[in-house]
Amino acid sequence: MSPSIETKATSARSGETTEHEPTYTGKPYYPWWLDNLADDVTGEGAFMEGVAHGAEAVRSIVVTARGIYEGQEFSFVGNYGDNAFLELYTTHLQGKPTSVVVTVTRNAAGQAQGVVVNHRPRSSVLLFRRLMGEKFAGTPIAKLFTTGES
Amino acid sequence: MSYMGKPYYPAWLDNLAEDATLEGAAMEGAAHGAETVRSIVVAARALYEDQQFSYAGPFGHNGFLEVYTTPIKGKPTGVVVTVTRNADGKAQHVAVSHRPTSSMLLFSRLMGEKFTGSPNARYFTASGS
Repeated sequence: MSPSIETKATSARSGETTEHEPTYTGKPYYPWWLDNLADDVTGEGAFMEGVAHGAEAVRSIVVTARGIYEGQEFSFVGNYGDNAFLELYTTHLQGKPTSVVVTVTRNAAGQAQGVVVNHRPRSSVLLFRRLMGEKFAGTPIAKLFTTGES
Repeated sequence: MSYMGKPYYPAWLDNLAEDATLEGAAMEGAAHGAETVRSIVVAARALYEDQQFSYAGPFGHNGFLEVYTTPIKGKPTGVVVTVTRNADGKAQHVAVSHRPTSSMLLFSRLMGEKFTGSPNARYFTASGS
């Protein structure tokens, strides 16, 4: 995990606003679900091939992703349906404007059971995928970012 | 296509704002205008082999969300669609995301083939690219 992201996450929870910190309606925002993942949570996305399984893997991917984002401006965070949560935000990836849609489904215990993260446009998907592949090079998670383009 | 076991049709597709926009994980750039957006969405639906919706309903004050799966050329694909409405209740902005990466790229290539020779082709990947 990235220490810098952990620092940002902590400051978000403490209410301080710092550069590149995620914000929603002008205030710091931290995704509740990231600290409340089911043991058997799954993670998917347009930038991935296959499914990440388990809280450790999903948290590692999400925390690393947040380390790549250059700011997050949320336009919506909230529930939909009976057991799900939606986030809409924009960010920059190496200066490239990128939009992101995140859906989170909860289990009966209220924990995040399924997380889906989709970036756009296509060039951002592929850029993000490449950057994630570099971050996870040499780990089992890397295969989620290095297969499926042929 | 079905949602909760019943036929489902996206009402927003027949209620697009004149200046509606469409973006997606499989696209580069935003499509503008109701005619263009409708053309792309109708072409996309023709590629979907069996849409099974797990959610179709509102989010927030002016949003509508669709979550579904479909095979594309037999390949299992997950799709998330967000629609934001304008003050008149018309679909103002549509964003569509396919996953995994291989499905996104397959979909983009197939759409590029469908729109070969038309201005809409520029949003999608060319065959073989």
